[in-house]
Amino acid sequence: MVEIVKALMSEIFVCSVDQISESTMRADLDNWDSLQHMIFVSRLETEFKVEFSPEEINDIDSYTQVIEQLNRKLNN
Amino acid sequence: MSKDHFYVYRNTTVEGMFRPGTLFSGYDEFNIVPDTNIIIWFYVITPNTEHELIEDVIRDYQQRLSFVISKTDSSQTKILLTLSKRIVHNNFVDSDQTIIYSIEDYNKSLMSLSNAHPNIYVFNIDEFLTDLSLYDIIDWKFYYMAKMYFAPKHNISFRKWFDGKMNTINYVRKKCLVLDLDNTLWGGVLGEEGIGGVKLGGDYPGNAFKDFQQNIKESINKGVIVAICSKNNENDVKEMISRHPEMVLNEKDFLLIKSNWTDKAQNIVDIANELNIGLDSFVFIDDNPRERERVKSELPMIEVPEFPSEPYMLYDFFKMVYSQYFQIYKLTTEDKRKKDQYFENFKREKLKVTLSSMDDYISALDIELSFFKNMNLSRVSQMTQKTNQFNLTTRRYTESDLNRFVEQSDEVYSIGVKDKFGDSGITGAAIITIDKANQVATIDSFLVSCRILGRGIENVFLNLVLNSLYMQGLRNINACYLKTKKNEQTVNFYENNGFTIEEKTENSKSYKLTVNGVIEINKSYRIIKI
Repeated sequence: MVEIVKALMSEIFVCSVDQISESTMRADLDNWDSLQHMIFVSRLETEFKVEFSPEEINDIDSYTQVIEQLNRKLNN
Repeated sequence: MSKDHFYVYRNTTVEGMFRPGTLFSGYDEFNIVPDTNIIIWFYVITPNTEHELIEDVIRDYQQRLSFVISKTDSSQTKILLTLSKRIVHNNFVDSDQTIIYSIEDYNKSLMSLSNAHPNIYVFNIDEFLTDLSLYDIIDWKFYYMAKMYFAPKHNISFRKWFDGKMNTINYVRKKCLVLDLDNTLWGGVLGEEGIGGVKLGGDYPGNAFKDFQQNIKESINKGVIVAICSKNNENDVKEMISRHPEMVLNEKDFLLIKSNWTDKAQNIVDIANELNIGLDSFVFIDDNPRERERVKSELPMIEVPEFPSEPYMLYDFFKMVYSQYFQIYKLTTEDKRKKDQYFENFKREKLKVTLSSMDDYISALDIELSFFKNMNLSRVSQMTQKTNQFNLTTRRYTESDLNRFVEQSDEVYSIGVKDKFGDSGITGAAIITIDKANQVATIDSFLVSCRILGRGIENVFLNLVLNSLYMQGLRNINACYLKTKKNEQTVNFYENNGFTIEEKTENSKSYKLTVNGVIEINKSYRIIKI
C-alpha cells in the first residue's frame, strides 16, 4: 500500500518518490494544492476502493495522515 | 503558437480530465485569447442554475462561444463539447421539456458552427457518458467540495475517449479489414456443411451474422477496405458469395479474396504487398484464437481484436472495432472512392506485366494530370495529415495553416490523376515557401499518395512545380528530406531529380537546385493546367 500511495503522490504532485517520507507535509510539495488534493483523494478512493468523508478529506495534511486514514479504513 | 497544447474554456473544475500541460480559463471566463493551437469549449449546466433561467443561461453560453470564435484565430482548432441531455437537473413537471429543447438547440448550434468552419469540431459528450449510470456521472462530494461536475474517477477514461476523438479529426484511421469467413461472416463451416448448411439470415444465429455483414457493408461505404483471408476451397467460397441469398456482402465488396490453406500471416503480408498498404493499417478479424495468436505473434503491428464468444455479441463487437480503428469525423469523396481506386491499381499492375518498357506502359495508360495552384486546400491538408510513405518532410498542416501560406504569397500545388482505368482524384501536393527578397523558393512539403506510384507521376509533378516557379523568375530552389520510420522510399528522390546535396546528417538532407530553363515534360502524360 505504501508503495502505491507514494507512486500516486509522485505522479499527481509531480515529484520524485524519494521526496516523500514520514515527515512530508502538504506544504512541502509545491503541487499539492487544493485541486490536486481532490484529484489525489479520488485516485485513492478508486485504487483502494474506500471512501473519504469531506471532513477526512480536509484533515489530510501529510503523507502519514494518508497512510493512517487508509489503514483505519482497510482494517475495518 | 504552442503546438498540440489545449486551452479549455469551462465553468466547472475539469483539470484532471485533460493531458498535462493543458491550460484552463477561470470559471466562466471567456474574454481571454489563448495562443494554443487547440481550443476546447467545455461548458455544463451547473445544478445551481435557476430553472426559469436555464434557457437564458444556455443562450448566454452560445453568445460567449460566438465571442470566443470571433476573437480567436481561425487557424486554432476548436473542439466543442455538447451539453448532455442526461443532466442532473430535477425536472419538476413532466410536461415541461424546456430544458431538453434548449440543450438540443445548443447542440444543433454547435453542429452548424462545425459545418460552417473547417477547423471547428463537435464532440458529443453523451458518447462518453453512455456507458455510465446516471448516478455515477456525478459524485456530489467532489462537486460540492471542488466544483468537479464529472466524477473525477472517470478522468482517465475521459482522457482516453477524448484522445480517441482527436484521432478521428486527425484522420488517424486503419485502412483495411481482413476477415475470416467460417463462424465469422456466417455460422458453421462451409467446407463441411455446404451452402445450404451454414447459418446466415433467418433465425438466430443466422440473423446475427447477417447484421454483422450489413455493418461491414456500411463501413465499406465509409471508405474501409475489406479483404478475405480464409482456410477454404476457393470455388466453395466464390459459390457461397455469389449464390447464397442472404449474403449481404458480394464479390465486389472484397478487394482481395485469399481462400487457400496457406498460413494466414503470410496471406496478410501478400495482401499488404498487393494493395501497397502498410501492415500497421490492418485489422484482422477471426473467430479462431489460434489464428489470431499466430497473426499477432508474427505481425505485431496488426490489430487483432478478441472475437466475441457468442454470435449475438457481434453487433457490439463491430461497434467497438469500428469506433476504435475506423471512426472519422468527416468523410471526403476520396474516402468513398477508396475501394475502386485500389481495384483500379490491380488492373494497372496487370497491364504493366504485359508491356515491356516503362514508356509503352505509360502511354498505354493514357494518363491525364490536372495541375492546380492554391486550390483543393482541404484535400491537401488531409493528405499532409495522412501521407506517410511518399512524403519528403512529413509536416502536418490544417486547412487554415494552408490558407495562411496562400495569404502570405507562398504556394500550394496539387495534382489530380486520371487514366483509362479510373480517376484517382487529388493525390499529390507540394507546398512552396517563397523568399521574395532573395528570389529563393523552398519546397516545404512534397508528397504523393502511394496509390499513384509506379507511373513516374511524382517526377512529372515535381517538374511541373519547378516550371511554374521558373516562369515566375524563381530559379534557385531549396529542398530537404527528413527521415521518418516510413518514408525510406523517398530518400533519393531529389538526387534522382538533379538536386545536389548541401548538407547531410543521419536523419536529414538538404538540397539545392538551380533551374536553367523550362523542363521538358514527357509527352505521354496529358497535362491540364488549372
